[in-house]
Amino acid sequence: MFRFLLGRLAVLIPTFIGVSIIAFSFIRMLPGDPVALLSGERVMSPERHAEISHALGFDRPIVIQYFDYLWGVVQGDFGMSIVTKKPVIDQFFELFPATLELSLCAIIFAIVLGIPAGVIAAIKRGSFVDQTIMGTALVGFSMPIFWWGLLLIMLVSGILQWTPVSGRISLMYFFPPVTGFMLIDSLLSGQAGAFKSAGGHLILPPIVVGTIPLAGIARQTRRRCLKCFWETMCARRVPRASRPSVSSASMRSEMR
Amino acid sequence: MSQAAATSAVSTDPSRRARLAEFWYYFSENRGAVIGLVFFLFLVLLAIFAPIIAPHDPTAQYRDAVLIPPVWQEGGRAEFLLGTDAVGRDMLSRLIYGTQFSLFVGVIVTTLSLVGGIFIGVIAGYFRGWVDTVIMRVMDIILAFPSLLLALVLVAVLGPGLTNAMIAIALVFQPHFVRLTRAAVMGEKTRDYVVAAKVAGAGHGRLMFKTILPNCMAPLIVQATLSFSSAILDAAALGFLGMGAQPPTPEWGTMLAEAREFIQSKWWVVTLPGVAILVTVLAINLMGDGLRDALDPKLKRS
Repeated sequence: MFRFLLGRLAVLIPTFIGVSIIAFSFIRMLPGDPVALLSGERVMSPERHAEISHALGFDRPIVIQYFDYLWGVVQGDFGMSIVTKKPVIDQFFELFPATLELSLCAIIFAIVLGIPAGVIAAIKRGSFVDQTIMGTALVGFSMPIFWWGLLLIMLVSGILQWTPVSGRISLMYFFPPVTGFMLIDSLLSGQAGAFKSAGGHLILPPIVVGTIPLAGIARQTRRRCLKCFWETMCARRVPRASRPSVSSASMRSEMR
Repeated sequence: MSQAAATSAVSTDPSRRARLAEFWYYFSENRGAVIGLVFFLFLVLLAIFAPIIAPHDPTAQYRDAVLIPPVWQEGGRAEFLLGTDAVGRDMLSRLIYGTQFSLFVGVIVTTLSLVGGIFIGVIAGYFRGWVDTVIMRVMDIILAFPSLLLALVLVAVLGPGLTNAMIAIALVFQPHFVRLTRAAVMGEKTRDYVVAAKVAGAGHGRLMFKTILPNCMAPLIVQATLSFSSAILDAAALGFLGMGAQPPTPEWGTMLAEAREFIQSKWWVVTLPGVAILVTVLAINLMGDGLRDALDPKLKRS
C-alpha cells in the first residue's frame, strides 16, 4: 500500500512539472507586452522600457526565467503582481473564499435536490413522475449555463425583481472581511439586514453553477438505486413474475 | 481491388446486417433516442438547405427594422418572423445559419479528437512500456487544467476565431478518447483471437488497427456523441466570451454575446440563440443515451 502511494506520488511530479511548463509558456505566448502595458496610454522611451524589463527580469533567457519561477513556486512564492505590487498568493487568497463559498452553495444545492429527485424517480420507475424528473434532468444536463445565467437574471432579477443582478452584497453595507465568506462576515458584522442582503446575492449564482451537477447527480442516483432494488429483489427470491420487467430497454439501461 | 473486396464483404457477411438490425431494434425501443435522432436529422437538413430556407441574408442589415419584436408581439412584422437584432438583422435567418456552424464544429471537433485519440490510445495500449508512460503523463497534464479554461487560453494564444476554437476544443477533448481507447486495447490485447492473429504472422500495424481496434469501438462511439454535444456547448461558450467565431458570423454563442446588453428589454435577442443551443445539445444527448443502451453488450443478455 505504501509503495503504491509512493508510486502515485512519483507520477505526480512529472505531471506537476508539465503543468508548470504549460502554464508558464502560455502566459508568455499570449499576445501583448507586459512592460508596454504598464505604461498605459503614455508612450514609453526605449531606454525606460529596457530599464523596466531589466528590473522585472524579462531580459533574461526564457529558460532561466522559468526555473526562477519554478523555484519560487516550490517555496510557495508565486511572485509579485506588477500592477498592484502585492504578492500574487495574497491576492489569490483574498478572492478565493468567494469562489469557495459559491462552489459550496452550488454543490449543496445540487446534492439536496439531486439525490431525492433520483430516489423518487427510481421508486416511481416508468411513471409520469419518473419521466418528468429524468426529462428535466436531461435538459439540465444539456444546459448552456452562460445563457441559463442570463435567462435567470432576466426573469428573476429583471421582471420579478426578486434578487439583485450582480455583486456579493448591497453597497449599503460595509465591514472588514474576517473569514472572506460573505455569509459569515455579514453575520459577524452585526449590521441589520446585511446577512439578508448577502444571502439574496447568493441565490441565483449557485443555482446556475449547480444545474449541471444537479442533473448529473439525479441521473446517477436513479441508476444506482434501480440497480440496488434489483439486486435486493433477486437476493430475497422475489418471484420472477412480481419483479419489474427487465425486457424494456429503459430498465436494462439502469442495470449497468 | 480493395474497394471490390470491401463491398463484397458487406453483402456476403450476414452477421454485419444482423448486427445492424439488432442495434436498430435496441435503439428504436428508446423513445427519447428516436425523438433526438429525428430532431437531429431535421437540424442537419436545416443546415444543408439554409440558403434556401432562410428568408433573409444572415448578415444583411435592415436599417429601418432595428430590434423589431417577433411577429406575434405588438410591433412585429410578418417579414421578420422572430424579430430582428440590434443592427436590424433577421433573427430567424441567423438562427438557421447558426445550425451550420454548430454542427460543423461538432463534426470537426469530434472527428479530430476521435481520430487523434484512437491513434495515440492504440499505440499507448498496444506497446505499453515507456511509450505508454510518456503518452499518459502528457494526457494527465492536459486533464489537469479545467477544459474550458485551457481552451480559452489556447484560443487566446492562437488568435480568436472559429477554426482556432475548434482546434483548441479538439485538443482538450483528446485525453478522454486516448484513455478509453488505451483501456479497451489493453483489455483486448491478451485475448485468444489476437494471439492467433499474431501467431499467423500479422504485423504490429495490422494487429493494432485491423484486429484489435474494431472490437474497441462501442465505448468510443458513445464518447463521441457525448463530445459532439460538449463541443457545441464549448464552442458556443467560447463565442460568448468573444474567443470563438467573430461577429458578424451568425454563431449562436456569438449572437448571445452581442445580445447581452438587451437583457432587460428585448427578450427575443437573448432567449432565442440560447434555446437553439439547448435544443440541439438536448437532441444529441438523447441520441447518446439511446446509443449507449443499444451498444453496451452487458445490457443485451436478457
